[in-house]
Amino acid sequence: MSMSCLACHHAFVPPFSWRDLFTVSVLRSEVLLPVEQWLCVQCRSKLVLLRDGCLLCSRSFHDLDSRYVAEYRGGQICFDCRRWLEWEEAQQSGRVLTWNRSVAQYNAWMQDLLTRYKFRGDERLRYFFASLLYSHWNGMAQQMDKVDVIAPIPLSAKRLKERGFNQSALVARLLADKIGIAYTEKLLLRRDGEDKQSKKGREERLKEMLQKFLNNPEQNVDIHGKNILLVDDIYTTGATLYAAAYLLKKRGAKHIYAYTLAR
Amino acid sequence: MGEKAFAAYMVKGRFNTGQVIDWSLLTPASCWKRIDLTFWQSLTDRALFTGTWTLLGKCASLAAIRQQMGQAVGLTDQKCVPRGYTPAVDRQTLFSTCGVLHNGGTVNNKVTVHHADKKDSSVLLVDKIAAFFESEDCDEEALRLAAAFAGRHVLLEEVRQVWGKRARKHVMFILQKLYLLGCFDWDAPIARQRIGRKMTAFCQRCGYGLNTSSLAIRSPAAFSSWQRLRRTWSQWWSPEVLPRSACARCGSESCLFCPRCLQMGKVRSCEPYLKWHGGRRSIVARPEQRNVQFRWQGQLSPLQQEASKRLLRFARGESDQFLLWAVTGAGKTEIWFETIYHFLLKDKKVLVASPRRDVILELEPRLKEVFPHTTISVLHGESEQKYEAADLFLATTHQTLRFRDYFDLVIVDEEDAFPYHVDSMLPYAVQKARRACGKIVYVTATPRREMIDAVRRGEIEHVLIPRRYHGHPLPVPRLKPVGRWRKSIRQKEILTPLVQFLTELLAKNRFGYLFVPHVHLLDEVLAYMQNVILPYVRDLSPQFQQAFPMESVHAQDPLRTEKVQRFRNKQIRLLMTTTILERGVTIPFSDVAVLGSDDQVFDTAALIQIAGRVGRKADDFEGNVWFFPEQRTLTQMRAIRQIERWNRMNVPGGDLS
Ligand SMILES: [Zn+2]
Ligand SMILES: [Zn+2]
Ligand SMILES: [Zn+2]
Ligand SMILES: [Zn+2]
Repeated sequence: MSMSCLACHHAFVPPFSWRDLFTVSVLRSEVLLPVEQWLCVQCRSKLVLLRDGCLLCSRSFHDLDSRYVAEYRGGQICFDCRRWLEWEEAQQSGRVLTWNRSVAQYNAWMQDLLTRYKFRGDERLRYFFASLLYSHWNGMAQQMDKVDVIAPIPLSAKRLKERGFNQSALVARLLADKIGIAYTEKLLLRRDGEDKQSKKGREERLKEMLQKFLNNPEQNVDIHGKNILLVDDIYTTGATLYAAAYLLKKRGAKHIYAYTLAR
Repeated sequence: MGEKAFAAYMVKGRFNTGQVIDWSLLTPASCWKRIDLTFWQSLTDRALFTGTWTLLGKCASLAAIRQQMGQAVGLTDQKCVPRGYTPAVDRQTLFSTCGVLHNGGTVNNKVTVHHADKKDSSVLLVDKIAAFFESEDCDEEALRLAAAFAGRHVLLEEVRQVWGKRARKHVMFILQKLYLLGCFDWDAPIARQRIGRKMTAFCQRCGYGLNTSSLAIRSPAAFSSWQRLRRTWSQWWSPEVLPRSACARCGSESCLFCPRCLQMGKVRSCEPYLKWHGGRRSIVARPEQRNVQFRWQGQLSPLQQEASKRLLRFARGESDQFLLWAVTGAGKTEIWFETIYHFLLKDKKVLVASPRRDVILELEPRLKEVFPHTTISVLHGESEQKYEAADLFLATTHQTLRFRDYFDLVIVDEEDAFPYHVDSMLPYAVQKARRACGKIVYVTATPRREMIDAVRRGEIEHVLIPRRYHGHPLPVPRLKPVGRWRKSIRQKEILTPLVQFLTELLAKNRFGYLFVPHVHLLDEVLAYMQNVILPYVRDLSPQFQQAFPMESVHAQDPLRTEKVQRFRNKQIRLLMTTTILERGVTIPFSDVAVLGSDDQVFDTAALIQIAGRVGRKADDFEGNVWFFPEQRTLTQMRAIRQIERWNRMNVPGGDLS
């Protein structure tokens, strides 16, 4: 029984599972499945899962000079994260973002797939991305059992209208449903405005991001003392996540974790 | 949630010309007061129209209007290939008989009524309507663009891109005015159709959801029972079902979208879809008189002439599908020139489509030369999306997705080429691009089995041209099994047939194609030819010492066009390639060899096409075609037998066996 590969559309034969006997492929494409059920062998080799990277942001150390690696609590963190730690100290806020976990490396292949998802709008891919997060979650369940609420990074109202969907929210919702944790989209709001991120330095970007998020006036979720898992699509410099986490921290959240698809 | 973006209303009454109307119209909610009310009110004020208009309701999207009050507004679910939705035609007819939209007069210029017999009152009506549209923003550019969109069905987003610089609200106002004039109809891109017992949603643009594996031959009888079974199986196993998702635009929890035509802009059921009316009357005056010139100096061979006559007879006749089956190098392009001319003369729209872009690019200069005064629009993936008014369109089959119900003649060149039959939206695109009474001509050297079956049953007219234009027979492939060639190549053993092939290229100073079954073999075979065979051949004779550049090219090769160009310029003597070069690229004085011709990527059609690369010029009608398989297979024998059969035939038509 052959399927077509999610990424390259070529027919391939996924490893046998008993479910195959009972499901039609449409139903199949709307459940969370292990990676080898979605991708052909060639594409699976292009999907680089991140393991054993930076303790705080999952960055892989393969392509990183050892000068940019620092020690932290018996593990290693990247230079970026060390600067975030310094920033947190300067804010005297305690740990803002406890850690971020990215599932896959942001390589050309992943970029194509994310473009197809976000910009072309192939929302079917949400099942695949949620599957990625879910299998990652299964792998580290003991660390995560304290999460109380799952929330996506919001889009601005204008962007949401333009795109028709929030790419992070779709994935976060599937994940929350699957593992049975409360889910809300109403924690934060995001202001309009272009993201001109690439041109600016970290400080300016963070300042800009901090202004961009605001508390949702109609939210009725009490997050005091709760652990929150934020979900976003890409972790670039972390400014988006740190800004969102900073706001939640100020509202009394205990720990804030982040899950991102690619780093 | 979701604002009420569209409204439906009804207008009943009569014009002072005597025309009674009972229309249901749609309008973007932002335009209701500003455009529609003003329009009908101003007509009433001037005693041009007496009647009533009532707002039926507002909805979040056109799809919602269709669902909630479809019956009332005539936006009902449609058949597989829907015909024009009458109100646009009605509106245009009314206003154009009044003279506004007449070919001779433009709306925002002084209206010139060409029909002398029109009553004064209608001239008055025309004047007033003209004044209304003249006001503010309905300028010449808008009208010209409206004409350029004729026959296309596009998303609002695509229209906005063309009108890019204008404010969004402004664009809506202009569009609504054009709508009232009958230039287009508002619609929702995802329609529903009854298949069997249940209603199925499908994408109107690409046909996703219809579960049609082959629309190329429309008659259901064209499916053999085996094909029907396979279709049923594939429908059951992987039915085309439009995925649904929560939509932030319309606020619906299950908004449908089409996953197949995403690269042309996402089709969502709440998106407005504009069906531009493709009527013969253009809203904008053509400045110059139509001038169709047919400038072709070439000479048709007797066989071509006969075929051209048959095609013309078909064009005048009743039937709507035709197969022009011409062997490779028969000069098939020249055959349909005259038929195109015949259609252009009658002010009809012609589309020449092909699944392959290189075919389109090659045709462009030739057609521009033959029809120097005709506006020709060329559409392919890498050309910028163009919207322009034209009489003759050249497009890849992908680009025809944007047309509907427009062409009187569609010529599908290289009908059997990849990916036309792999992607079922392409046959759908071609079928829907023609008008209901339009005709389709399929042109190919190697029609598919289904096509031949349909011809045999008499469902498709056809003509067969078994000879090349220069009258010489086709080169017959010679088959030489080479044993386990993959292993030999790996172990650098000498394959004598390849030595012979190369020796002939060198001795006779010819060029060569070497086809291999897979991309990943290319490098290996190239190295083998360069390092093993070529030195061996050079050792054979001192006269073989000249430079002999070789290259390999495949579909994803970044240097593909450049390499092919170098081959054309005779800078490459031997080109190793996969099936991508099976059609299109022809080099005079060349030989062909197919290594591994028993591999399943080379079907009979591909082998015939490959053999057809050779001997196409009158001064080089002979050439060698070699098949180097591991073993003889039926596929190869069929290809050879087919070519031999053509060589035995002398007259066009008749025998299809
Ligand atoms: Zn794949
Ligand atoms: Zn890090
Ligand atoms: Zn579609
Ligand atoms: Zn919607």
